[in-house]
Amino acid sequence: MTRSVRVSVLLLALASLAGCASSARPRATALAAAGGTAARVATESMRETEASVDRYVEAQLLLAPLTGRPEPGEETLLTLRRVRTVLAARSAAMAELGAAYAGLDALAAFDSAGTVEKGVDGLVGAVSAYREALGQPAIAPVPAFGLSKGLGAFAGARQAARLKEASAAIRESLERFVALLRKEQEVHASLRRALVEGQGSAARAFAALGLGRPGALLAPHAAAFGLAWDEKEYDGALSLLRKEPSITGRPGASREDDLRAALDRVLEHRVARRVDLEAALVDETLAGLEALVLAHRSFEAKRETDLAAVLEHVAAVRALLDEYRAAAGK
Amino acid sequence: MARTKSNHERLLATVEATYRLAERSFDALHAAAKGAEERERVRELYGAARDAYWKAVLACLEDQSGVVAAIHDELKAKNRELKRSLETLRDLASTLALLRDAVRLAAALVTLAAA
Repeated sequence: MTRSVRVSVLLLALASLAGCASSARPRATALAAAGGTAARVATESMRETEASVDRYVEAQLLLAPLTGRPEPGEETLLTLRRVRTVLAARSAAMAELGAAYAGLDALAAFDSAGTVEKGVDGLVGAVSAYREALGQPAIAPVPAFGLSKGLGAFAGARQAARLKEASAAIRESLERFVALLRKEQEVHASLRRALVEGQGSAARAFAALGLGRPGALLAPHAAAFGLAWDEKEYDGALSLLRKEPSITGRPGASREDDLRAALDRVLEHRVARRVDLEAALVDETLAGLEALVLAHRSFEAKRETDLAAVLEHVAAVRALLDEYRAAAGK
Repeated sequence: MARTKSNHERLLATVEATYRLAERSFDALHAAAKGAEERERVRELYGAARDAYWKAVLACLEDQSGVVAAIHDELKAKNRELKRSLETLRDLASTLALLRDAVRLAAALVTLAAA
């Protein structure tokens, strides 16, 4: 009797170990997928800003002779280069986060440790580089990440323990990154607004000079009700408008001037809309990463992992990026 | 997550407001300027507002001293006045004087708060 009870207990223990591993793997796979998506979208959003710095500098150089604005001085150009370095370090950290999740996925799928170890090391290094780019003292070097070798006698239980270990390593770096990003949240939103304003001024200056064809801007309005925009007709229509007096009655102004003024108002609206989107993009990206940290904690505590919150923020960032690109006519 | 703005963020937001007012109004001010001298003044003020802003982005601004806090309050008030003045642009000379004051305050704020 005693012996049969012992056997039952042993069987139950084995079943629970197998169950532990079998539930950890799909949960880790789901976490890696959601994390990978969040990292990809965050990288995309951050690279957009990084590219904006160069576009802003070029816009300032173009605006100088076209509008009379002075060219930015050496000191300002130097500051902008430093800003770009910070932004590049930030998007590099997000790209490394994506690689770490690919490693977590490989660990869940094939119990392959190499990819996740490399991914975590890359992430630790990238977050540290971001910290240094922000002008904060470097953190003490940490030894290369390695998963424990002897975590349990059973393969399934050992894999579950290694998945938890890998999740904790990714989370720790993610938490450090989120703390840095949270501290920079308002500054980041501010500089994104300034970059957009500068680029918007250049676009409006081009339009005022008659440079930059407005077809892409007008076509959706025509197409919305079934009309086809014909770019070839634009110049002819413009010639006719040029001959007609302005609807405003302004002396010397033509209807072509009216059209330019209207285009300028649309551009002004688009710039204002993009400025609004900047802060929302920063907020949603950060919220998505914070939700990811919580998902890691739940995974490690073997609680239900709420990936819906992560995916909601990812979807919101995507929608904002799409709207942002639409406002930019991309 | 709700959080309060840090010193740096609050000060940067005010310097940003000055730069954005200068950016948005540059074309109108430049067009309204009478003569090369006044146009040059508009250019210089715009450049100074832009420089102050970018300097502020990377600086670590703190308003621990009463002087910085006073300049910050004065700049906020000046930005409000400037915004109102730019809406109508009735008197170019007084608008430019407001822009000049705002830019000087912004530059002083960045220098003193970063010290």
